[in-house]
Amino acid sequence: MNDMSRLWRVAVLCVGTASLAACASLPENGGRSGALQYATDRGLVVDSQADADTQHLVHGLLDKPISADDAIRIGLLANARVRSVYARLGIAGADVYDAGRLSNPSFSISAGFGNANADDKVTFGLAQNFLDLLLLPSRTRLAEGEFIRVQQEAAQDILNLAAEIETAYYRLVAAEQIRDMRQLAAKSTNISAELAGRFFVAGNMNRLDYALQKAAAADMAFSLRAAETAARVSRYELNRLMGQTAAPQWAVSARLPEPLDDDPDIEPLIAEALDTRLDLASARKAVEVLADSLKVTRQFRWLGSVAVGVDHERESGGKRITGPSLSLALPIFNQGQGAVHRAEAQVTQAEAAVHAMEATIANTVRSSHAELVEARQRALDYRDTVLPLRQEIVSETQKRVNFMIVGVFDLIDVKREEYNAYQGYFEAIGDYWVARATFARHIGLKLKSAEALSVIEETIPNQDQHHGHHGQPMPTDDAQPVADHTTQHDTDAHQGHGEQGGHDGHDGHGEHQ
Amino acid sequence: MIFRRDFLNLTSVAALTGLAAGSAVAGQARADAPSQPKDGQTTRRPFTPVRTLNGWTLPYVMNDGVKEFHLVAEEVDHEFAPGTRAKCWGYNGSTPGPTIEAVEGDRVRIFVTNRLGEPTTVHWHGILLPSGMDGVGGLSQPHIKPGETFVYEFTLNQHGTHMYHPHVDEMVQMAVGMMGMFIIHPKDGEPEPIDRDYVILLHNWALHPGTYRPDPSIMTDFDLWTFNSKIFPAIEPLVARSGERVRIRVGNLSMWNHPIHVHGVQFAVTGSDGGRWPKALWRSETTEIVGVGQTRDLEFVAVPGDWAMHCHMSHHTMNAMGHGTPNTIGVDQSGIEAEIRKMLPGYMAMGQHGMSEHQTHVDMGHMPGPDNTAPMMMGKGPFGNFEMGGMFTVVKVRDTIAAGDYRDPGWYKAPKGTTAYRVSTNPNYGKPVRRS
Repeated sequence: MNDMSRLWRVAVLCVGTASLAACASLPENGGRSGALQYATDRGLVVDSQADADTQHLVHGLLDKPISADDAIRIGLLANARVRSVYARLGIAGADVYDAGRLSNPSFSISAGFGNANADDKVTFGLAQNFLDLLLLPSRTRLAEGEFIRVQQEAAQDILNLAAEIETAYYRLVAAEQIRDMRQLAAKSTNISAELAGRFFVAGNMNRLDYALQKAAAADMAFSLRAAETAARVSRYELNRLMGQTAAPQWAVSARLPEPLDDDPDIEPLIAEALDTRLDLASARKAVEVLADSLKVTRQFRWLGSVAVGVDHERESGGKRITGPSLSLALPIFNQGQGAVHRAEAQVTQAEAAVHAMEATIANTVRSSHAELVEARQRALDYRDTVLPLRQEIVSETQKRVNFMIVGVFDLIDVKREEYNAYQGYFEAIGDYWVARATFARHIGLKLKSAEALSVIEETIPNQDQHHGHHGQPMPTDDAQPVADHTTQHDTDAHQGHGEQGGHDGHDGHGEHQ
Repeated sequence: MIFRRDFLNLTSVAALTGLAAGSAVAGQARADAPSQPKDGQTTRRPFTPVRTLNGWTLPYVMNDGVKEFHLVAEEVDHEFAPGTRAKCWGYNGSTPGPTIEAVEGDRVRIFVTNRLGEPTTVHWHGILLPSGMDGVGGLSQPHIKPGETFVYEFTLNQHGTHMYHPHVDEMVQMAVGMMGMFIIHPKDGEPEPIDRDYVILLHNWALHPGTYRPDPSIMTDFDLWTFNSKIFPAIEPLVARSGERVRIRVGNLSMWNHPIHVHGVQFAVTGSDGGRWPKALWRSETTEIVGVGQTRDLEFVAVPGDWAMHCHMSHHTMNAMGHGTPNTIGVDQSGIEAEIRKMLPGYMAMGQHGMSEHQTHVDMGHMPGPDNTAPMMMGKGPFGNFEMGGMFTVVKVRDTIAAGDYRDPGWYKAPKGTTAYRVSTNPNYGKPVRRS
């Protein structure tokens, strides 16, 4: 066999070896399915639409009043953060790809031009880094571990985004309800001031009392405007989270349901949270990967670069020399101590991060639960105690107006206090659902959203309604002499206002997985 | 039952207070179960027994020439008018307490049992008696403690219209209803025979709307004004036959003086708790102010018809109403009323042209009031709404009422031509003269 064919045989052998080496390909779908699987396992619902359909789908959703789930869907499709998360996955995927590949062999060529006594020479060389080959399985394993970690992190980011959208949604509904109550309250002070004007014109009220009435109306206008602005700001925030740049034209459903009466034991949930939280899993994975990396670093600390190759020299006189080459880094000045120490420190750092995260998770689960419980209790106390009392106060005051024992201004004042109580109630309900979404995020889950748990009316409540229909109670016209509103001293109170959501506690027990 | 030992105690008390021992002999005395009232039961001349509107006269037992009465001071459940009840304090189950009726010269013995939760006494307002019988707690006698029974005994040496009431924690006990009338007929009979002798005790109550117990802390701003603890329309009418001589005895233990006005007659103010006045001191009036603590006898000859009789303080002929409320007269609420009804569907703009419409609305039932509260204006007559309350009633005189018949004869049918009648519904009718 001649030299050339020997050379090529060696080369083919190298390439063959290389191709037999464990060769990771680019992760399927950029790794998105894997990441999303983590998220859907924890309750997130994700569209599987192809990218081309998203615009159409999003516009379709925005044309009708949106629910919290709709907002989450839209956000996951349109918010650029998701693309950024996927890009990060892509980077990690590329790392996996690279990790599973041998570095390309290097080919060298040099030419020498002899003088009269020497022949011209051409030298060819082909070298392959063989440390790669040794490290390939470890490197691949590490990169795959890191990829999983990044997938978990990405899934957590998506869950976080969903939670932000959900809470922004609830805040918006609450802000709109609060604004509506402020409108009713402002209307009442305006009516009172206008009525005072009639008394003034008739000569029955003096300037001072009239001015006091007008001042109250003027003050209320500020608080109304503040509430209107707050609702608008909440709207723009949700618009942002849904990834929309154009001015929002969409509408949200008008009401949130009443709090659920599920109240799980918190300590077992903390144990579950520590298992479920993806960012914790990701941090633990980081420890795992770094520990593995430390092992590898220790294993190969004596090894520098190793290159194996073949050289072939050609002289003009027809001389041919071919032979193998070896290049080896000698661990004389550096035996890899630095690298090992660095790796050890990185492991310690990662472990510390895990412990810190565990403490944070446990305590934020507790604190968000405490807030959830407080908000629920506040909402129920409004519904069962404060609102019925406020209605009774209005009803009893109306009776006194009927018998000319007090005047109509006192009646309007107590009606306004009823509106204020309703505002407190809506605030409490909004706080509850926000706290619940926050709590879910801290446990590491996506619980069912408010509307998924009960039926909601889509219409904006008007102030003439007698009953809350399927929504929660609304300010009612309770001065009627018939029994349904005026005889409420006990928990039957909420019967007259429509039962809604309150019985869905049964759903709530199955919530957590 | 008075047992022998207790009776001996009473005897010794009587001895200490200087009473004749012979009057306190145990005999047919029974402290419980008074006998039926016997009209004119005395050795003196007969008299027309008084009629206490909505009330009653306390029966007595004759015990060896002494008229024995028994008052029980206790909490009572009292109805001011249907739909308005309260826990009050009174005597023998009622407020005012039963009228004590006796004759000048009678010796009376009055047992007083205290079933209140605090001490009490009884003061015999305007009656001449020994100092120790005067009933001022701490001054005349020890307090009658809860559960105790005291006995008062004295001879009546006067005649006239008198009252009795507590003199311990007097303000509170009176404010919640403890008072009664004490009528003493003259020993020689009436110089002018009285055919109908009515008794009315004036009072005021702070029964705040929606409550069931009068509030004794109120000094001037009362809710209910009463004749014998009743408000119109629950006050009985004063019934008489045409031509009868009617006397109305008015006592006042409220916190206001009351100008009592009788329609249709000029009455003579003929006496007080100072006794019957000589004719030269009689005053001819149609309205007599009965001051706090005073009594007045008003006499007139009954004239046929239905005649209003009331306190002329116009707020005293209203039931509970608001004071200092916004004045709605002349206030045009058109347009804005509808806006208010959107917030408050039970709201009705009232009073632009006064309060007369109020009774109509309340009677129609679509404007309920607070619990236990009478509307301020009530009552229906043959021609429409009275729009009255409080200290208001009607003197009903008919040609055909039998003597001694006190039943309500219904409404007066005026003879033809003697009722005011309408001549036009056109506001521009006629040529009335005006000041320009």
